[in-house]
Amino acid sequence: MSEKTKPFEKELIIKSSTDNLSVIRDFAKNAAKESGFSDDEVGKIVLAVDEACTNVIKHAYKYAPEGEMSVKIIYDTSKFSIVISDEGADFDPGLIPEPNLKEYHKQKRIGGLGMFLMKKLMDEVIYREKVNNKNEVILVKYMV
Amino acid sequence: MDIKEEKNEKYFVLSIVGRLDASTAGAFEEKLLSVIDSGEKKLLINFGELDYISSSGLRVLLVGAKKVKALEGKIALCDLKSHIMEVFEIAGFTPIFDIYSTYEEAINS
Repeated sequence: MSEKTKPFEKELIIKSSTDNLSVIRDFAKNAAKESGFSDDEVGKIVLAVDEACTNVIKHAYKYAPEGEMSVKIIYDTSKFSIVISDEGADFDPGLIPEPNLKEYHKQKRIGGLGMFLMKKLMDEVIYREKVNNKNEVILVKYMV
Repeated sequence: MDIKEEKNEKYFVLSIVGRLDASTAGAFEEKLLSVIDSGEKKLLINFGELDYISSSGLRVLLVGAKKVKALEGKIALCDLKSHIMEVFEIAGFTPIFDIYSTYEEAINS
């Protein structure tokens, strides 16, 4: 389905305000569509990107809206990657436990749902800490 | 996002219009909790005009569900678009709520 689209890279640099999430979603949506994903897959990619950026805003910048984040999309015909980087506080995904859903619903555990969704929605979720002084999360969806 | 409210014989109804993400979930949480605090225990959230939900919106629904459950009430949902229903399924949230296909079905059940 994707043979017609040539490889591309696009980057959005944007402030860490939750008001910008809709701009980020539109950016991811357009790139995913251009890469030939179905509407269903586009929706999943958009939600995963939203969750990753929401985590950056919440955890790396503690809701301070003046931080800078980059959303870079790299499409190379075999895979579609979204690299989200920030210069905020270190983010240790190990500190946010993946919820055991049964326990999650019983208790008032409210952290970790975004990350749980990202892992369900994407083929790969990779965290890299402090590369060039930046935190990075990479979301990958393979083209089929 | 806008929230419309109405009360019928069966439910206090909140209809959410637009998108429920980290930028709007706070306003929704405030409204939902104030309705519960005012004594309403049977709530219906109408999703007919909701186009998008992220975990920030799901989290608010979970907080509300726990709060009304402690009061022996419940939160029902209706008219979820298929892509929103899919998010509920992926998150494992469908067993928590009574989910009706349409507003009429929720009212008449």
